[in-house]
Order: sequence, then structure tokens, then C-alpha cells
Amino acid sequence: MDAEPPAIRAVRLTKTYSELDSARPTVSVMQDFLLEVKESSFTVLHGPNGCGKSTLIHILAGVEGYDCGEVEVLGESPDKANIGIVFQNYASTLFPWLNVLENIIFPVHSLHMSKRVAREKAKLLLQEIGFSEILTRLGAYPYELSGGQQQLVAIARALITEPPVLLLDEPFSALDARHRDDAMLNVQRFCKDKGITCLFAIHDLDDAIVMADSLVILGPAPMRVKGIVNVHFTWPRTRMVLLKADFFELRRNVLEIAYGEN
Amino acid sequence: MKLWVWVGPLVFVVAWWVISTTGWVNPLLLPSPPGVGVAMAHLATTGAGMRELWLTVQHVITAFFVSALVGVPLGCLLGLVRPVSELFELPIDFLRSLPAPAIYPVFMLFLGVGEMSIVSVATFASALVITVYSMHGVRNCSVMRLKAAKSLRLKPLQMLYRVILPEALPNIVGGLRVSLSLSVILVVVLEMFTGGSPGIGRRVFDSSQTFRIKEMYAAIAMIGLAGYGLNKLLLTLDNKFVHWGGR
Repeated sequence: MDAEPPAIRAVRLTKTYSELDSARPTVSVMQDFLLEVKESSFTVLHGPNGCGKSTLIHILAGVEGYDCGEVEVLGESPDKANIGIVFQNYASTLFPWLNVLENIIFPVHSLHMSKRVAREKAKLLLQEIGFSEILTRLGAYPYELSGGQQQLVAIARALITEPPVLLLDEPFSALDARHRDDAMLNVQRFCKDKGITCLFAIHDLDDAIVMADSLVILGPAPMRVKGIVNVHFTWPRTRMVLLKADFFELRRNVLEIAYGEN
Repeated sequence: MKLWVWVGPLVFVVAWWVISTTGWVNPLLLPSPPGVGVAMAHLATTGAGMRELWLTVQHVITAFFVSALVGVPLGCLLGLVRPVSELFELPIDFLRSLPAPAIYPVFMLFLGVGEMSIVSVATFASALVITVYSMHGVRNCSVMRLKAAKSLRLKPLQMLYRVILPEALPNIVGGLRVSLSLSVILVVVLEMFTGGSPGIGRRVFDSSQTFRIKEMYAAIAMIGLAGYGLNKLLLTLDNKFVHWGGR
């Protein structure tokens, strides 16, 4: 057992959605769900659509309630903890009345820095994480960008305060292969350098393995952990790990757990 | 502005001209466009018409601003605090369903016949419209953007002015535009039929009663142009400063 307390801890977490129409039954999303995420680790939630990954991330971010159980993020209640989040529907979380730069620096109110310093910080961040195409669109409004560019802005907004915990729900889903590879590598480098604890939800199995120290394989709702696979490839990783012999063995293990009867 | 936008008005004027000069309609009831144009020029240059128009516009602007000052904060409050909105929902819906000119006599009892009553009725009806639009604006904030803002740990006041108000602004401005049109309608109608104010509305009515038909059309056209100008001004401001409506 680890001596260090986990960065994220959910114990006996239970969540049901009650339908507005009382004639319809309530939907149980998770029942007595348990999850622990080690500090500074990359944990990836991998499971079928609708299994409750996004709901779990929203609960951990403190933006959605739960019925019962215990949830702690950095030892605090989830609505108090300092987290960064990239939502799955990232486009609808950007503020259309602010331009790209203003969106990225939106969270810096917590850092008590001037707007000028925040703008410089945002530009440096974009350079550091290789989002150079966003640097040329700083004055544009989010709705003037492509879906992929909007996703990069959402990632940059989540990283700007360098939060100790980052929750990323399908953060690379709108990116083409080349941009996805770059973004995965750069986000990985940034977060590993800063020791940021990352919890991803990724449904693409290859991407999930590339980004994981620990891969949590989930079953359909009510969500439960079917198995946990540790991934030991060295960091930083590119999708070149997909060509390694060990990778095929790992993938087979994951698939057996994901589609097995357990 | 593209040239083709003038085709519609041109067709309208030509059709009007043809109808009024070919005798399809009695020219006493529908004078030709040049005749009305001359009457407009006369109204404008003698000063009386412009003075009356300016008085009407002043009433409209006063009603508009006062209703905005009352309606926007009230609507936001109702949108934010559910128990308060439940308390006021029924009275607001009831008063909104009342045709505003029908309550003029009530205002007249307390404020007398005159400009004050006219402006007050226009203000009252416009404020109700703005209140309802603002309330819906606040209530219909994007759930995902509210979640994003919540995850950024904004304080309640920051949440209000950094997220909720910008979210609601397209709706609020929509309400302002409707209320401006409503103010124009009410001020002119009440001027016409109550005789409480020597605005351009009264000239329309008086000229029709005394069969100065060209002058009547000229005054109607002036009201139309003023209303169009005010609405266009608000629309331009809306497009420039509230570009994110519907995004």
C-alpha cells in the first residue's frame, strides 16, 4: 500500500440520474464506485460510451453532485480543489464573448496576476506546448476557429494555472492524426515536468495506452472497474510505442479484460 | 450597403405612384409620392413637424431608458432567484397580457391627461417586456459554460458579471429592441387618441380628421423613418457589441 495519500480518491461513490419525467425509471450511473489516482501519475479511464466516465470527471471537478460516497481531490472536497478540466464538449465551454487569448487567461483570477503578465504567460505556454497555430489566432473568437483549434484552446485554458490535478475528457478527439500526436506528446511533457496528476477519459485504446501510467478499464453503467493495467513504457511517449512488441501483449490483456466475462 | 437593397423600396414607391396616378384609388385618399414628399418637406422646414417629431422621440427614448433601467436588473434578479420569480410570475404574466392602452385610464387618474401618463404607460409596458427577456436570458445560460465557470472556482459576484450577464446579454438586447418598438407604438397611439401630448402622433390624427391627407401621410412617414432609425441604431450596436448571440 502506498504511503502517500492519493491525489484523487473516490470511495463507494453512487450516482443516479433521475429523469424529469417521473414515469421513466432513474438511471444508475455508478454504484459503490472506487477509484484512487496516485499523485503525479497519468491515469486513463477507458470504457464504452455512456458508461459514466464524463459524469465521474464532472463529479471530481466539483461541477456535478453525487448521491452518496466520499470524494476527495487533493484532500479537499471536489468543489474546492484546484483543478483544471477539459470537457468532452469543449466547444460549448469556451466563452464566445471573449477572444481566444481572453479565454485562455480566463482562469488566472486565482493567481492574482495582472492581465499583461497573464497574456505573456499564455503566449509562453502556447509556445511551450507547441500550439503555435493558436498563437496566430489570439484575437479571433472561439466560434471563428475549427473544432480542433477550439480543443487546443480548451486544453491551454486548463493548463494556464498549472493546476496540480488535471481532468481531461477526450481531450484529443477533434484533432487530426498529426495534431493529436503533437498535442499528446506536448501535454504529456508539460504535465510530467510539472508533476501534474492527470486523469484522462479516452475511448481510443491505442491513445489510452500511450497516455497511461495506469489504465482503468471500465464496464458499462452502472460503472465498475473491470481491471487496472499498468503501462511501463518510458516517458515521453509517442505513438511509436504502438510498434513495440510489448504493446501487442498489453493491448491483448486490455481487450481480454474489457470484453471478458468478469 | 449593396445597391439591390434599394430595389424593394423603389418597387414600393413606383407601385404607390402608379396606383395613385392611374385612378385605381381615389387620389384624395392616396396622394402620389411627390405630393407626400412636398408635404414632408413643408412639415420639416416650417419647424412644427420636426418639433413634434422630436417631442415624440424624446418620449420614446425616455420610456425606453427608464424601462431598461428597471427591467434589466429586475429580470436578472427574477432569473437568478427562483423563489422571487415564482412570486412575481403570475402578476407579470397577467400585466403582460393586458393591452397597454387599456391601462392608460388608470395612469390618467393618478397622473392626469398629459405627457407624463403617456410616457409612464410606454415605460410600464416596455419594462415588462425587458424584464421577461432578461429573466429568460439569465435562466437560459449554457449549462456547459456554467459548469466550466464553476470548475474555475469563480466567486458568486465574478460568476454574475463574467459569465451570467454576458450569457444573458443577447436576450437582454433582444428585449431592448422589442421594447423600443413597443415604446414607439404606445407613445404614438396614445398621442393620437388621448390628445395628451402635442407630438407627431397627434398631428397624424388631427390631419386625418381635418382631411389634410398629404400631411397625414407625411407625418406617418416621418414616424416610420424615426422608428426605423432608432431600431437600426440599436441593431447596429447589437451586432457590434453582442456578436455572440446564438453561439
